Amino acid sequence: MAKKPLEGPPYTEDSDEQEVERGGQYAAILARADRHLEDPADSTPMERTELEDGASVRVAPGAKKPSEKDRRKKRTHGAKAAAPKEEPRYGVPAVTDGITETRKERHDALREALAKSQEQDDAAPQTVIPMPDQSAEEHLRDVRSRLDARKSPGEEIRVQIEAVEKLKYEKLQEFHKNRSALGRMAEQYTGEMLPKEIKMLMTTSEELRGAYLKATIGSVEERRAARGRDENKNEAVRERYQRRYEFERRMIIEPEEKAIQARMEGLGSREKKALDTLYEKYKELPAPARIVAMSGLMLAGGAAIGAGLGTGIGLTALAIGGMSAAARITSLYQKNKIVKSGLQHAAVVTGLGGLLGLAFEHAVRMGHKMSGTERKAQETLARGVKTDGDKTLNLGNLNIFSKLLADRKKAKAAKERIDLQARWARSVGSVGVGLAAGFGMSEVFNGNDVEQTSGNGDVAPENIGAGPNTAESAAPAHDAPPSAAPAAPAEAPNEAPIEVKAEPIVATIDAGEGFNKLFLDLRDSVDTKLHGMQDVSSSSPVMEYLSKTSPTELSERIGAFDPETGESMIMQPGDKLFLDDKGDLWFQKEGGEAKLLMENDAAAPGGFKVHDLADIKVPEASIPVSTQSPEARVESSPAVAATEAPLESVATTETPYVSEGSASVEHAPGPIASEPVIDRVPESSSQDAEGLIPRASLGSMPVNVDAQAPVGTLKTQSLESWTEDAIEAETHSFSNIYDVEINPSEPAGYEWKVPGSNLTYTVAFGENAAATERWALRELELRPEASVLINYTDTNPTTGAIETNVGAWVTGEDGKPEFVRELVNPQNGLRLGAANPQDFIRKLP
Amino acid sequence: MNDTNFSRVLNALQIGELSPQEQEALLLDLNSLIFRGTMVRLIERMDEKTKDDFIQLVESAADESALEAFLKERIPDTDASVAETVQEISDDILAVTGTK
Repeated sequence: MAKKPLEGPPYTEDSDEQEVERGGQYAAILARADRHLEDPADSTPMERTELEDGASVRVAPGAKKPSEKDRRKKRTHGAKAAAPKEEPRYGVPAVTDGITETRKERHDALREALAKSQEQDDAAPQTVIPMPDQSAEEHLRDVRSRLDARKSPGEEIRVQIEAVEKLKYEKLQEFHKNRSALGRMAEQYTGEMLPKEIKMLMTTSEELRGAYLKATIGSVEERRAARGRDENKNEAVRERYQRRYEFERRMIIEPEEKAIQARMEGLGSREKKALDTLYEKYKELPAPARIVAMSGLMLAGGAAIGAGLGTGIGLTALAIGGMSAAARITSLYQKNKIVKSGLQHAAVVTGLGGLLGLAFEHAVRMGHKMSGTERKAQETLARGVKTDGDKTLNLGNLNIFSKLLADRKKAKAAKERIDLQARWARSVGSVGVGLAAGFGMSEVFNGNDVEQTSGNGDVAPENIGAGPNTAESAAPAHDAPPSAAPAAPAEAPNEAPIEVKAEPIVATIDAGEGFNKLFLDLRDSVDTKLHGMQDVSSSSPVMEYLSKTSPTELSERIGAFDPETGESMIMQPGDKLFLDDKGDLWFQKEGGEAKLLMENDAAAPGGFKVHDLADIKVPEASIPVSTQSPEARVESSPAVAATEAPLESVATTETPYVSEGSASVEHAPGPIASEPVIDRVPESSSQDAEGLIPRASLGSMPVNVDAQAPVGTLKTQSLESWTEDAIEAETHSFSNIYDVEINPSEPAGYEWKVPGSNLTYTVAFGENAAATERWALRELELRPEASVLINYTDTNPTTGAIETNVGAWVTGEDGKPEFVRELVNPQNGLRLGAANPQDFIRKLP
Repeated sequence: MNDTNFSRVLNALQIGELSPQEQEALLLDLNSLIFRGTMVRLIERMDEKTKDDFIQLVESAADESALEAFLKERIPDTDASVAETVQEISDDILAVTGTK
């Protein structure tokens, strides 16, 4: 540009383009050239001269003002037009130093001067043009920036893209408008038959957008190569990435949106309106649900995996569904290795870990809402939709719906595992660490074998999170707020192979400790390992069971504790429990042989088998005698086992200590109660459950028994009332505002003062809901006239929201325990909220 | 298996280099595209009666489960429409970014 100072068109005021030309060629470059030609050493300012058309130029002092004729001649002939030899260029003396006699010579001199000027400009751009007129200087600066902008190769491509996209949109619109309804329907079998012209436009658009990406940001390979070379490069790369999102919005998302818009042109107005309604509703879904669903769609919908998996996930559900879809993909993640490794791989190698981890954690919680949406859906389908003519439409086959419902129930059944995954993920700060950590943690509970890294240093998906080079390096402090979640670095997993160690997790007993303590220690040990993200190479349903089951229940399960008698197995210092690299649980007496206690077995209910201590031939004297057949225990799933907590069990959190060195059972244990609590609870209390029921045991407090609520839900309530707060409070005792010491890990009774009233109730409170319930039931046995309140969570059937409420265990009219929901404050008639530990005014003995 | 459609698309978008806010916005944009692209395709493939019923179902504020049941019942191979949409978007992204 600087080398052609005299060849631009003259100034006119009506376009930016011309202004650029004028500014660039008349004012800036010419002025500089003239000055240098006149006397390169002279920095005398130019004088501004108004021309006839209002434009102005700068001329050297004493130089002739250019005439309109001169300027017209320039316009007419351009660079090739010969100027009269004797006539000096305006602002340029004809003869300056006796050398520049001819036009060609002057021209050469001009070029040389311009080149020098440009060099000076480059070296010290701020001092090149001493402009007396500030506004003119600003103008020049503006002009120069515009010129610079024009130099961008991307701009030229962008203009072409706009043209092609516009044409493509028009052609697509035309095509979709003219497609027949029959043709559209047939496309589900034939595929879409786009005209050749549109296909060409699409290809051209893709190529141009690709060229634009290269021109503006650089190719993928270049970006990868540039990454991490040195600081300056990194800065440059970072700058380019700042434009990356803009590119993706403008060059990928917007064209796709346009294509869909064009497609919609083929629909009628009612159809468009329905689509808009659906979309507006869809946009209200929580972002995590949509992200999780999208992940599943991208994973299963692409050709890389194939239709089989897509069918398994239910692509339609993912595409249109929010919460249930999110829960479904999360559930599938648990069960399907392809989904699991696909998501893990995507999360880690793309650096999307943080966001996906966050989304999945939310998705876990959203699983709770499924029952609400299911109920509403069933109602809608059952009643159909009334048309204007009051005719009811058959909206769908209820059999199909039932099948869908069954799928969701399966997903819901997996919720416990998902909850656990979320819990562990949270506990290691997966919000901050990202999916790598969250999934890595979940691996512990999923029974997958650990695979070695591949030879090229890529991380085998199953190894993600298992080694120190993944999440540990990126792990921020625990409890990092979600908003501060950084994305996991994309390169991290590829930098070094992960060494998988198979170090077992061990808990060894000390004097004064029992099996319960062993289990707690083992759990702590696992926690420690997981927190550090080191050497955790095991993964198993056994560990899942261990982590969510109370120590007493675990001791009971393996036959080391008899709840009937309170007897527990005699332990010796040095006895230990440990988890091997497969996640199987072993018990080893000090100096003895290790015995397998819990073994992962995909074919077994719950994914693992339990070997009773009686089966593993631990020295006879050290185990209690059980009347329950070992087979029955082995075959029962963890969930069933949890429901089988006998009513009369006295849940203590500490196993009685038996003196060191002894190897005997303190008492011959009585028969273990095999009748589960669920059988002892009346099938339903609905007969007398309408409205408020005054109960003597509840004092003056009226209660509202939920007629719909299944009474035999002890197990369900137990799990559901395992609240997040309780999880966080695990093992942490605290004092509340009344100075009452509360240790959530030990279920106990408290006197709860209802805020804003003088009402007080007995509340059983503890982080382990099953144990807390047992505490409540034991209290009820001791004092049948009492009512013992506990918190429980439930899903609001209308809103689908999770609610925590307080209910009461009371003795029913038939003398059996009965759980009463939705308690009402007798003083104001309002429903009682959950019992907050901060309102406990004393601990009951 | 590692190189899934999902990871290839995410890599092509260099999504790991974006800020978390941009990542979320981009994924939601993709999600919206898939939703709208799928729904348009599904409506296109409905016969008139199904279309009328569907519109009334939407107007009745039916939720996702009812919609899913309806679509599965009344339109053959709904998943194909979703897969087509996903494939189209994926192909476009991979082609533009030179990673196809």
